[in-house]
Formats: sequence, structure tokens, C-alpha cells
Amino acid sequence: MKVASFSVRATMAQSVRWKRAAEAEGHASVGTWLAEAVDAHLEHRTRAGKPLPLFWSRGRFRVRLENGTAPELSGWVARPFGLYHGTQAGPVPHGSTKCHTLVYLPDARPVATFRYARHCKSLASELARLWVRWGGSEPTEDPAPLLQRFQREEA
Amino acid sequence: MTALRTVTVKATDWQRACWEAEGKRLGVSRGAFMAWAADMAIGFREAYNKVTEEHDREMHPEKYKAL
Repeated sequence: MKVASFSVRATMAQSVRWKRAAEAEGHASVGTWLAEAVDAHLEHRTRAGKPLPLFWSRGRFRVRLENGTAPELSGWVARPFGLYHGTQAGPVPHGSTKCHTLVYLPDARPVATFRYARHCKSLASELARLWVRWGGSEPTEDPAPLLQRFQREEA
Repeated sequence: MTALRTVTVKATDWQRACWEAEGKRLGVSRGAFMAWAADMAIGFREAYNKVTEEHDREMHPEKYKAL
């Protein structure tokens, strides 16, 4: 699993409080305690049943299409999801065709196609909530009922 | 000016993305959100300990008489 380091700035008082809490809870460093505390906060939100908010920005990503090719397409990205204007057969050139496809980026797999981008984003938030519960890995449970609910709602 | 310290955190891409998204939702940076969540965690823990002790004092006053 890829792990990266970064820094969080804190006041002296915060730093002292965090160090004391980390020691009390048996953590070897303040960093590991901080990561656990933030994850616990998010898990609490997840358990409250709220979809996880995702931040979408423009980006390019690879998609495995129905014809077996895997071109790089441009669209919107909120890892681990992407979304592009088009179907699972390929991107739709500029026009009024309403088709947006949600993609699971780690294996470039299209998840579902909807008329509106907002439905893709909403499904991504729901899936992210489920997957946070599974420690960030794809759950072994079948996401089909969730997909079917979204497709019914859209219809 | 308040003295600042930096804390190094190791995290997976998934954790970073989740923390970033939550920070955006609250309109702050990832680091500011983490600092806030850490302070909240300590606040909740202290409140929990205080209420638990108060409850214990009410239920078992004999334990605290000698103190």
C-alpha cells in the first residue's frame, strides 16, 4: 500500500495536547494518533448514514471501454472515482446527448451510466461511504442493489 | 505571534483524499480540518471521562469517600 508523508501545522498548545493524548492512548508518535483521530471522526460521520462528500475537479483518467480499448479521457475526478460525458461504449462528442458514466479509477472500470452528472456524483458519494466502512478497499458485498436503486430513481 | 509546530503524518492516498474532501466541505484546508478533528477528539474524550466519573460518583459514593 502506497503511503505518503505530509505535515500539519499546530500551535504549541495543540502540539502539547496532542502529544499527551497520543501517549495516553499508547501511540508511538503524534502523527499516528492524529491520523487515527481524524479517521475516527470521519467514521462517526459515516455511521451516521450520511454520504461522504467528494471534491470534484477536472482531470484525465484511463477507462476500459466495452470494445476492449482503454483510452485516456478527460472529465471530472474525485478519487477513487472519475466521471466523463459518454457511455460505456466511449465518450460522446460535444452535443446534447445526456449520458454520463461513473468510473472506478483503480481498475479503470465503468460503474454505471446516468443521464445527469449529478447522479454519478451522488452514487460515488454513497459508494465512498460504503467503502470507508471497509477501510478504503472495495467491499466484498455486492453493490448491485445500490446501483439498481439509483437507476430506478433516475427512471 | 503564536509559535507553530509541525506534526508529520503518514497516510494512504485514500485517507488523504477523504481528509481533503472533508476539509473542502467545511471550507478549510486539509491540515486545518485535521487539527480541528484532533482537538474535537480530545474534547469528546475529556467530556466522556468527566461524565463517566460523575455518574460513577453518584452510583458508588462509597468508593470516593476515602479520597
